Amino acid sequence: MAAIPSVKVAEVREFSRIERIGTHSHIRGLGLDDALEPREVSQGMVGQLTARRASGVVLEMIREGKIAGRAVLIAGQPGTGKTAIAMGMAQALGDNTPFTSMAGSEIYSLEMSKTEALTQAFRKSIGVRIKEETEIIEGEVVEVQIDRPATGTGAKVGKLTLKTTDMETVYDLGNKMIESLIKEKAQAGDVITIDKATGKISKLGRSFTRARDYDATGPQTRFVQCPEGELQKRKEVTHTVTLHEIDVINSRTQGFLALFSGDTGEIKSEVRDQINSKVAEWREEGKAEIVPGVLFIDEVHMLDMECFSFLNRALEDDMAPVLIMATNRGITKIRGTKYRSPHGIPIDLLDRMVIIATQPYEEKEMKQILKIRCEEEDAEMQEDALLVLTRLSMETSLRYAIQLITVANLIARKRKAMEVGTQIVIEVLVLFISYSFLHFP
Amino acid sequence: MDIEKTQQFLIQTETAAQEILITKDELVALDFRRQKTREAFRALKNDMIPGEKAWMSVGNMFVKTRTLKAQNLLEREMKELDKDISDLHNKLKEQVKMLRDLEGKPELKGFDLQPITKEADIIMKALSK
Repeated sequence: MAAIPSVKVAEVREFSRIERIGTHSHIRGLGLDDALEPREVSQGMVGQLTARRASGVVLEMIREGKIAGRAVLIAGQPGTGKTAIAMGMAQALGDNTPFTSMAGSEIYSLEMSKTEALTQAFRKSIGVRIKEETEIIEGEVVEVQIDRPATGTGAKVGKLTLKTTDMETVYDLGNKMIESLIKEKAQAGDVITIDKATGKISKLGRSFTRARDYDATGPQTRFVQCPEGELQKRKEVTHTVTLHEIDVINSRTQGFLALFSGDTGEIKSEVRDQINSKVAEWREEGKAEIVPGVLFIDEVHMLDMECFSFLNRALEDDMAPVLIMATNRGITKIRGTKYRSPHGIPIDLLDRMVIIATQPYEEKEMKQILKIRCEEEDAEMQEDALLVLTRLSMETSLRYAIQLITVANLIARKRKAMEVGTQIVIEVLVLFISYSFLHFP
Repeated sequence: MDIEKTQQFLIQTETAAQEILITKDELVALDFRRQKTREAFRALKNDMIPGEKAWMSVGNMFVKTRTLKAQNLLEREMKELDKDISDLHNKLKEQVKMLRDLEGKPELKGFDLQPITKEADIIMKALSK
């Protein structure tokens, strides 16, 4: 019943995602209800109730945005859903919050030092929200009238009649505007937008009322409704950019090219300080909002002592994202030293972290996960075959069973069978051996 | 009683929504006046010879004034209309914020930000290349 606020238009940066079925592509969220209680099977997540409830709390913390620089560790045996929980959190946060995902070993690169790689990862996880405001004239063209001067030289003059459902008016056109109109090939019946500040004309499409004007229209023709309301509207667009993107744009003249080639190199700390003070200034004046996001580091035991000391310091910055780490190691040597500690992380960093533990799955949970993966990979599995796979995942590992689904499905399809039967699963078992079957003398 | 509460809630939200619709209609009406004033100004500028007198309709009356005077009048009116429309836009934002508050919807992200069109333009241009 309420009016739709027409003051703001949310703009989404569009780019097409190539859909591939990955290991975690079936995860759509954490599967929590409104009270942050986890449902048994929901949004692709199965079981792991304690860990999911804990992650839900962390998620709320992130959404509030007021708490920055917290560290969370998800630890558990291999194949217990650590990365899945992180993926669920990423999906649940949505597009508005920056979520950067990386593996621990990505830090090591010849092109930049470890601290630079970490700093960039941190800056990629902090968003800055800015707004631009423009006055635009949007309407359906009723008539375009251009008068060429009789003498051949001299400026053209013209009139443009635009209308909306509520009003109609005539605009006097100058030379430049006439050229733009001719370039855009704007005719009567087209719905156009003119940016008042830049004078740029864009065609939105053709009006529905003029659809019957011609018997045939080209394939590119879009039909839109005649605009409603005022002719001259105010348009506000909000953008969220990350601090890293602003760093790159400012650090070189061809900065935008570097964003895609990945060759950002080392960005000077003076540039970063400048950006920080500029963003702080905007914040003071109410021109920008900081959107702290999430940095997810998987396999965090791959980081060495230097990285950990850097993390200690970086977490205390007032513009730090929430750091989520995952590891499946128990008590291991900290890389770069000969000391052992839980998860290969120094005790002082562990102290600053909130730890979420994941437990190995039970049989019925594994069966449910396998069922979800079968659906995701479009594999029709017989009940017996599913039971065999479940037994297999209990004996060996969940991942092994999931991989067998793909292979078994392929073989079944090649044999023109509608479903994957126990026979096929056993065949595939022999073809692809699990590491736990291998016995070395 | 729950029914009372629901009734109260409905009255509040409906009033707030109605106010928004009224403001939007006002904006349309003001823009209409703005466009017509602009057309009149243009017509005076292009077709009339300075020094001559022109007929101008002020509300219900027809007035014959010198073209220069008429132009100044129209210019002042356009400036006032621009200001009024700007004020109405701010009012509309307040009303929308209040309605969303009443409905319990989360705040729109970036609603209250001051626009920085020049810098935002540069950033978005650089990013989309």
